[in-house]
Amino acid sequence: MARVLAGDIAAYEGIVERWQRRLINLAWRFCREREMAEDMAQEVFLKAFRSLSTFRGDAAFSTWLTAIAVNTYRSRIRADGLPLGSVDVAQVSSAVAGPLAGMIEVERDESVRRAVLALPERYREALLLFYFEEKSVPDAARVLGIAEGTLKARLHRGRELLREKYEKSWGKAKEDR
Amino acid sequence: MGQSEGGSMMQHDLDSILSADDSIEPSPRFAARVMAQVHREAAEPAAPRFPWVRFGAGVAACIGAAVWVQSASQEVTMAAAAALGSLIVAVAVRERARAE
Repeated sequence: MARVLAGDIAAYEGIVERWQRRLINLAWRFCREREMAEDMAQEVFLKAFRSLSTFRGDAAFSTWLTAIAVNTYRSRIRADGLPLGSVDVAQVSSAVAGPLAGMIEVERDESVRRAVLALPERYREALLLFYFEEKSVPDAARVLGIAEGTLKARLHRGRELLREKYEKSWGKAKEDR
Repeated sequence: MGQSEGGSMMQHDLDSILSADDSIEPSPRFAARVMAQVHREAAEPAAPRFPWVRFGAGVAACIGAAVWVQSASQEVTMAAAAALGSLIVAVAVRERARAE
């Protein structure tokens, strides 16, 4: 970063390569569409480049960068809306790393993840950041700029809303097995 | 199956799904696209900054001029009124003297 601030722009590529997977995957969780995710992540890298000189080092670079990402993704989704069409299982299974558990499970899991995106913004972001940060309440709260207690309350309410949505359909599916 | 037991199983299912790793890999050319845009932006001349100091000085000068004009116009008005009054008095005195 010091090299970039000193004028060595090519050195910024190291930052891009180091953080691209994280930012793209966070965007992916926000929109579930590869092209949009990469587009949003690119916007974040440009914003970060423009404001590198404002990074004071009082927080981890990861936290600073992720906070820019969350703000950017939030603004984009507010402006453009979410491309939440029907679940394209083939597209999801080709995009996601790892072996398929089975088409039905893939569709169910994708449906749950999209249901998170349909939640009110504050619950959606709480859930997305919490699981993205590997269930670390302090890390997710720091990125969102909210108190840990607030995050926990939003997680609780977000999970309640998800449960209400799926209790009926899953309960029936399990009975049918 | 009791409701609370079913509820905790549901929560467990949701937790498992949301915790599962469903990462995607960046496109091979992603970093190159970003850097191309970064280089383009860096090559653009910096937009001229708004001249706030000059702007502030200009506003202050305009305010000062307006205050000066207003006060000057008040003085002119009073002077004109005084001159007119003197003229009227002078004419009145002369006419009276003629009449006498």
